[in-house]
Amino acid sequence: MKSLADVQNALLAGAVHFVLPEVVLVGTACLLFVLAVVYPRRTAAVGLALIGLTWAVALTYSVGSGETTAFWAFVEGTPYSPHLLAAIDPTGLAALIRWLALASGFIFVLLAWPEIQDHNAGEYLGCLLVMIAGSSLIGRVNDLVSLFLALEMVSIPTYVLLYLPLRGRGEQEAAVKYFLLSILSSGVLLFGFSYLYGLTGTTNLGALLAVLSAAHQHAITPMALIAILMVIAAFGFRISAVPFQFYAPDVYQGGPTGVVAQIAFIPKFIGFVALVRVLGLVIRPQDGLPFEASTTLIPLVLWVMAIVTMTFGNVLALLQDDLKRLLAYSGIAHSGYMLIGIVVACGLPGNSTPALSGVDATLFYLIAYGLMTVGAFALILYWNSQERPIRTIDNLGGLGESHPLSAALMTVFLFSLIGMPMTAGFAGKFMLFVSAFEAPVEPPMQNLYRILAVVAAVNAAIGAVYYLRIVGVMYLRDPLHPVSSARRAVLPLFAACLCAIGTVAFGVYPRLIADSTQQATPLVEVPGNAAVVARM
Amino acid sequence: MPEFNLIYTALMIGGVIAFVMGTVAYLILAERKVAAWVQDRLGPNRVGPWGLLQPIADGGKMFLKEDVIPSHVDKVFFILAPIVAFSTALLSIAVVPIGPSTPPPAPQATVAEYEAAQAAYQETFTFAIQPGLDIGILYIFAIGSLAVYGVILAGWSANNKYSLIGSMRSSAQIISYEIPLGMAIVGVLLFAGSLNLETITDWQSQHGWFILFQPLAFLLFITSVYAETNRLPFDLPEAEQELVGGYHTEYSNSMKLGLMLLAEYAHMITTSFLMSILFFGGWSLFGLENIAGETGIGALLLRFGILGAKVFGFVFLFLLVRWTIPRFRFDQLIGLAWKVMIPLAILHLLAALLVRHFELPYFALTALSVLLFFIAGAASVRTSSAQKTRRKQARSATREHATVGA
Amino acid sequence: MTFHDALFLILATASAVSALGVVVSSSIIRSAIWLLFMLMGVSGLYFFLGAEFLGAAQLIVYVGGTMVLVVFGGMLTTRGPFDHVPVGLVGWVLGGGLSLALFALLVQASLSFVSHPRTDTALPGTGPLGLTLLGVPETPGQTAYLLPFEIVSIHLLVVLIAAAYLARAKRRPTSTHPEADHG
Repeated sequence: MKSLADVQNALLAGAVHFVLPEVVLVGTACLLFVLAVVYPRRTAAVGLALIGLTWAVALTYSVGSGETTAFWAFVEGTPYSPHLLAAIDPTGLAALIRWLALASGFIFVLLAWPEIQDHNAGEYLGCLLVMIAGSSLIGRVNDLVSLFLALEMVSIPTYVLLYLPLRGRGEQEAAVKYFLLSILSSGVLLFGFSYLYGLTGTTNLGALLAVLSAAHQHAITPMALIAILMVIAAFGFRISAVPFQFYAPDVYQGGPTGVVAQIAFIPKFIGFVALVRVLGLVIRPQDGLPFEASTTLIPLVLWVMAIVTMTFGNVLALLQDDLKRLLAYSGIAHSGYMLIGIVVACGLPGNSTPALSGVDATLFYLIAYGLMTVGAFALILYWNSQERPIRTIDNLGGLGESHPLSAALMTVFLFSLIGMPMTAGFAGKFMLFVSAFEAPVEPPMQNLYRILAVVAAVNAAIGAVYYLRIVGVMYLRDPLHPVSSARRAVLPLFAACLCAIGTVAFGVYPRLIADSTQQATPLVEVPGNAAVVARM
Repeated sequence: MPEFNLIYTALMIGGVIAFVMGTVAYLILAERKVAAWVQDRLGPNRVGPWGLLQPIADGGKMFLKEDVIPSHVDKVFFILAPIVAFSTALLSIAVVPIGPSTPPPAPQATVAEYEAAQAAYQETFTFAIQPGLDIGILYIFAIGSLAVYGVILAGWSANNKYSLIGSMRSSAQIISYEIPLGMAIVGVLLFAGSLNLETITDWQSQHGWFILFQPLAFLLFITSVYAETNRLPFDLPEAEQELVGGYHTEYSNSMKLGLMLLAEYAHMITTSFLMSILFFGGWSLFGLENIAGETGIGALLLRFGILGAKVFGFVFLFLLVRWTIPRFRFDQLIGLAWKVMIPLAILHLLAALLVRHFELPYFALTALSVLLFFIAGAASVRTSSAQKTRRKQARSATREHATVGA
Repeated sequence: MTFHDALFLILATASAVSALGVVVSSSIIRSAIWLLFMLMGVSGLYFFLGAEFLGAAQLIVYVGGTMVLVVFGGMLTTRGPFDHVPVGLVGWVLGGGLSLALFALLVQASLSFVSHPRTDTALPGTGPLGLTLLGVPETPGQTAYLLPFEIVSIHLLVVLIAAAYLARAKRRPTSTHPEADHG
């Protein structure tokens, strides 16, 4: 039988094979940085970035489910759980997250086209690829240090991207605001992580959660609560949940649209994934969740956060005239909806196996949200021109006549954001509400889930008002400016088409994704190894 | 941990301070004498024979002058600055072996072996305040990185534009030059296999001096050292002509200024020791250090003499360079660090890694080192000549333009 | 009280007083400099505990590297001599209350901390530290940090690119965008 050290070394040596697509992405990014110096051309850079992404996709496809098999093979015949040992864990969410990251990478490269010039193309796309690699890593790193670094792999390039097209004061303000607050949130996150490490003596996420759960069977450590609150606060910044949302409107308004589209999706995406992983919702420890509703108030904190976030976002979105600001508040509101799934998953007792675990609903909604929001930003990017800048909602007047196709696409996205049937937004909201209603009514949370679902439904109705207002302006109002004949970049429109196809397809036939999200969150009971846990 | 003895420690502190202060005082005199010699003057010659008592007179003056603290300064930090500057300068000398030394034992596998080796090591004597510190040179860098705060605090607390500019220049300069300074010695550490200065000396007494194998590293090191100590040609933080003395403009000529100056000269001494030990074999001299026997008072004195002569040589070089090379412009200074010295240091490190990994003879590194130097030289000559032609073309173009316009 | 206790008291008091100085001082530069002395005190504690490498690394990285930049940035951006950022009463009460609560928690945690004596005879030192950082862990239960190490280098690359780009951007005319003079 293999000894513990053997298993550990095998896992370490094998870890390289679990991150190959990310290595390709980062390597391509390095090539792009070099290319930017040697041959600064936009076409070459975009071509190279697409080649890198395609290569990563090919690698991911060829690996398939092989990595999970290989992962389990390392511990075959031993009593050790790989979740407690490995630094890279390709099971569970990992594959889905990687596909999502790569897909969003393609969309964002298309969106980047009108915003980059020859002199900054290499840097822009290189940073974008590093971001994609980082967000793909979030799904599989199983170690606090790696998790933090993967999060920073997304944050640091974002600062660069916000700075690259440095033009006016608005952009500068957006870049500085995002930079300072993001640094602060990273600091808080590290603070929380350091407490978690200090309490458990391990940086391995699985082992850490196992130790915490085992300890919380007997008594709650106040230090762990402080730590997890700090972690939630830091992720709250990334998912722009109230009260950590202050940066969002200004950054969305001031930043370059293509980058704002990235900020609207990628940080939220990684924030939610990291949150569910740190809360132990993906791979449940044997002794139950470390922060259960019956013993800690953490689910209740998240519950309050969800309600405040969605209401705050929706009410303030009603007051906005600036289109990107409106999308910022709408993004905040949607974060509130997505938190529902996490609250539900946090409150589930260990032995229940509902049809919807909450986490999968959140993941589905995350995908739907990405499609519709990024699509909307793509269209703003497509319409925006020097003669006819798109800043406020009024600027959209008459687009229904002048640009029938793109206006129709925008309508699809807005309907999806409202949650009209036959769109992905509807399917996502439906899954969230059902998961909240199906959750068992037990003492600690009792009817709170139902209240949450009702509040969310009311909020969805409020949201309809401002989304429909945009649709109305597009089709009923006369244009403010004469229609320009300037040539437009087609790539953002193409990206918007892709997003719209996805929105409708997943709305009509949600199983396309719902199946994979449900498979990705199997609520594995970790077999656990008392010996390993005990010595750590 | 060696036993703590209050009297011994107090004596040691007193001795070190006396040694450093005395040397520094006479260094100032030496500086003035060398300056006079270079400029064909006589220099100080009134106080005592050949002006030998001048330092004492200067010291007395500094102690007795009224200590003026301007009303517009940040008092706490204004007073703290000279203290920081001087104490860091003194602290960094703690691990430098100022005489014959014995290398500490290599790492042992178990605690028992380690303690036996340590006990044997305690029997030997090394002329350093804290001998056998494993992180040796790293400690000097750590303390050295504090030295910049003396300058920064002085400049900021003085609330004076000249001081502030001086201290900003200084921090930019010191940060920039710390990188080549550190990277230049990584090659040395790779070969000696230790950070400890005694071990490095010992390695050189067995295999030969590092200057023979890594001349480029020495060049980078000495250049960075001049920048780190704010000596000409890198004395921009206190450039008198532009900044009225830079960061110490607001310090009246009292003991606080005295401490600042003492710190600067103390740095010179420490770095001269470092250069002698890291690159010139410390107390070793191709076996000549053994002609008076391996042990005994004669060998001791001889080794002291060898190391002292090397250190004196470097100090003299410091003084001579000051009157030989003009001051850099600030952009040239930063450009030199980032565009020339850091890439060269990286390349040199790569060469050292290759030689170490493939176990080539040490002199292969000498060849590589010299080769790198000449390639860099050729590259810089080419770029500068290209710039010159471009400038000439531009000038002639404007002239033509002017003629056409006329 | 032995000499060691006295030394520890001096170092600990210096660190604690400096830490208070960071919070109480209303000038950013002063705060930064207090923080500097706090870090120096902590590295002194490391030296005191025999962790020389950690102490030296702390001095080089934080005191010599990071804090110089912080102070430098502070000096470059202050508007006047000795710029002050006043803190309101609410800030004092709220921040003070929170930090006192955290302090109480930390004290409680550190008092309940049980230290496990080392059972293995292997010598601690920088060697195992370096091996863990780069290669294979020597004892089971440890994690090797090669991948994080590589990721850090990617971070540094991106940051360097950004720094170079920012430094370069100042000289480039950005006239291609008419919004340039918008702000």
